[in-house]
Parts: sequence; structure tokens; C-alpha cells
Amino acid sequence: MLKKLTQTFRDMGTIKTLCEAAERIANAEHQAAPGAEHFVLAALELPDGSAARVFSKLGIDGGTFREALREVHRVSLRAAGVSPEQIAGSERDVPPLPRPVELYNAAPSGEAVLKGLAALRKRGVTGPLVGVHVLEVVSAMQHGPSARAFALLGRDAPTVLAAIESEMAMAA
Amino acid sequence: MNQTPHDASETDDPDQAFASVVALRLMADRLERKAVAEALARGWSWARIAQALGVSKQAAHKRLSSVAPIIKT
Repeated sequence: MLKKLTQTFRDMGTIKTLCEAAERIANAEHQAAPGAEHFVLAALELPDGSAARVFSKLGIDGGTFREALREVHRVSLRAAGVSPEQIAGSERDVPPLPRPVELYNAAPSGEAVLKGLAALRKRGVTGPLVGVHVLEVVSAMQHGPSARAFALLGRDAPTVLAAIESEMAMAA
Repeated sequence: MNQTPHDASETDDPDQAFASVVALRLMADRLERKAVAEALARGWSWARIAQALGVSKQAAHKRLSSVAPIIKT
């Protein structure tokens, strides 16, 4: 009972760290509400190192993934007929977002990550909440910037999932 | 905007089309903040900004009041 309670408190601390980091990362990209891709980048910052180890197995790092996300954004705009010059202009001198003061607000894909993490225990996942769990939840999302960024980097969904499962097996 | 053969409005791939829609929304948000900063620097009132954006003054102020005017040196 005490062990379960301690773990719950520890998980709450990890969730708080994840949420704050995801928000900071999203805001730096001029996005007010963090999406799943920002939670992936936040997971890489967690001290347990499990998400970073998955990326290492895939031969990439956070910087590579972050740049792939930006390129996904640009490719999507070019596909809509926006010129590279217009894209560059839109990214220049954007007024910064305010420091969040209201209740925590994630984008729908970010909310899905938090719900997925909350459902881990119901699925029988034991042990402390760690970064690889975030990757596991996000890897189930077939669409969105994260899936497109992995694809852009040449890491298909089965390859990503295999690296995640390998890390989760080690963590269990 | 330039029209290309890869125009998202013409693509058969819904995944690509949705990705373009999401990217366009994000670009629009950035352009909106930049335009508001420029307008404030030129002395526009919030009522005028709201009218130009097609929203209420309250809605414009709530969403964009953090934008500071561009200071040109």
C-alpha cells in the first residue's frame, strides 16, 4: 500500500516535470499548447534516460528530432503552396508568447499523451513512470508531427516500436 | 501563395492534406502575432485590430494582449 502510494506521488512529480518541459518547448516554437511531439522532447529531458536510450538505439537525438519536426512543418507548408521565402518570413521576429498563468492547457494530442500515461497502470504496467512510457504512448499515434518526423528521419513505425519495446523490457 | 502541383487542396493523400492544414494554422498564428505587434506600433486601437481580424474586441484582447508593439530603431 505504502509502496503504491509512494509510486503515485513519484509519478505525479514526473507528470508535472513532463508538462512543464513540454509547455516550455512548445512555447519556444511559438505554440501555446504542447502537443504530443513536445511531450516526446520533454521525455528526452527526464533524468531516467530511457527515452534518450531509445533515440540512441534509433541513431538519433533530441536535436535531430526537433529539426525533423521543423522540417515536417516546412514540408507541409510547401505542399500547400507556401514559398520558402514566405515560410522564412513567418518564422522571423515572432512576438514571444506570454508566460502561462491560467490552468494547464495542452493541445488535444498532448492531452491524449497524458490520458495514455494515466491508463498505463490499468494496462498492468508497473514500476515508476519513465520517459520510454511517453514514447510508447506517442508511438501508438499513427498521424501527427511525431509520426511524420520519425518517417522523415527514415525510422518507420515498426523500427521505432521495436526500440521502445526493447527499452521497456529492460525497464520491467 | 504560389500554386504548385503539390497543392494540398489537390492532394489525394488525406494525411498530407491534414498536415498542411495544421501547419497553415500554426503559420497563421505566427503571422497574426506579428501583424498585431506591427499594428500596435503604428498606434492601432484594439477595437480597430479586432475589426480587422473579424473578432470581438474582447476576444482579440484576451488572445493577443500579450503582444508588445514592435520597437523599430
